Amino acid sequence: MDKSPKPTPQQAPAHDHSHSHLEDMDIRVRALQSLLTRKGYIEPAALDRIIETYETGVGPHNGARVVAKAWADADFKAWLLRDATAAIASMGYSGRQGEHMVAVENTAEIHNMVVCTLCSCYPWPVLGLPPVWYKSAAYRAKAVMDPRGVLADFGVSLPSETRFRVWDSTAEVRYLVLPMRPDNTSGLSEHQLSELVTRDAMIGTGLAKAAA
Amino acid sequence: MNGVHDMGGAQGFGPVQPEVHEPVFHAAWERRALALTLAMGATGQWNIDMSRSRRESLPPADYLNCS
Repeated sequence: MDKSPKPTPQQAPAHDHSHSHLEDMDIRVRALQSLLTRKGYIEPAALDRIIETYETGVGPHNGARVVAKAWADADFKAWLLRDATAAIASMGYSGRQGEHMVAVENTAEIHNMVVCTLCSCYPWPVLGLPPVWYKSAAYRAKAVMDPRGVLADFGVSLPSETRFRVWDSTAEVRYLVLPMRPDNTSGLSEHQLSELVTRDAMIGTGLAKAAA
Repeated sequence: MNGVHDMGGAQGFGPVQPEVHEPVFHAAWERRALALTLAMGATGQWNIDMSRSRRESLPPADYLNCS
């Protein structure tokens, strides 16, 4: 039987600071998961399903199909601009963080850009989870002050006469930019058109790709 | 609430820095943290307003250090 005295705090080994912050976060999140599982709030299998949904199922490929359909079908485009929530839901994209959608159309005169100055509100069903830059202080601060400068940060410039309209997302309303259809795309199928639609074009920090 | 999170129009944060070929998650714990947050939302014990309130109550320096 070990009769050695317990170490006093002074004698205890110094806390090991060599492990990284990431390891700390991993441990904290695992502990939270164990606790919530034990309390009966969650099932680990359901978590895996949620992760799979947001890692592979939902993403900008959804929004790209919406844009391509709007480019190819004038009636759908009119519906999208009138009632984006319903038009987008008709393609099967609805749910969390996309309950109230508004589509805004880019033209030669007006370029739209979407931001969430207060946090990270973003239309998940059509674009997936937001990229880090969308949540960054730089983007949130600058988009409403200098959208043309933000575009330049993305390597994009527009004619000086183009006007900018910046939309600040809210907890309820989420925006999808309908980018301008590239030239020389009249012969393309909807699927081919969708491949020209980038995530950034649907946020307004980029343009659709030129046809190959 | 008027806090550090209210960033619209603030100057001095520098250029926007997009990440090329950004992954959906940057660390394994991010996947699990997202799933826990959404799953707890489904229980009705945790909602978006609570989530924002907690985030916006972080000490400003901590808030600015989060991605």
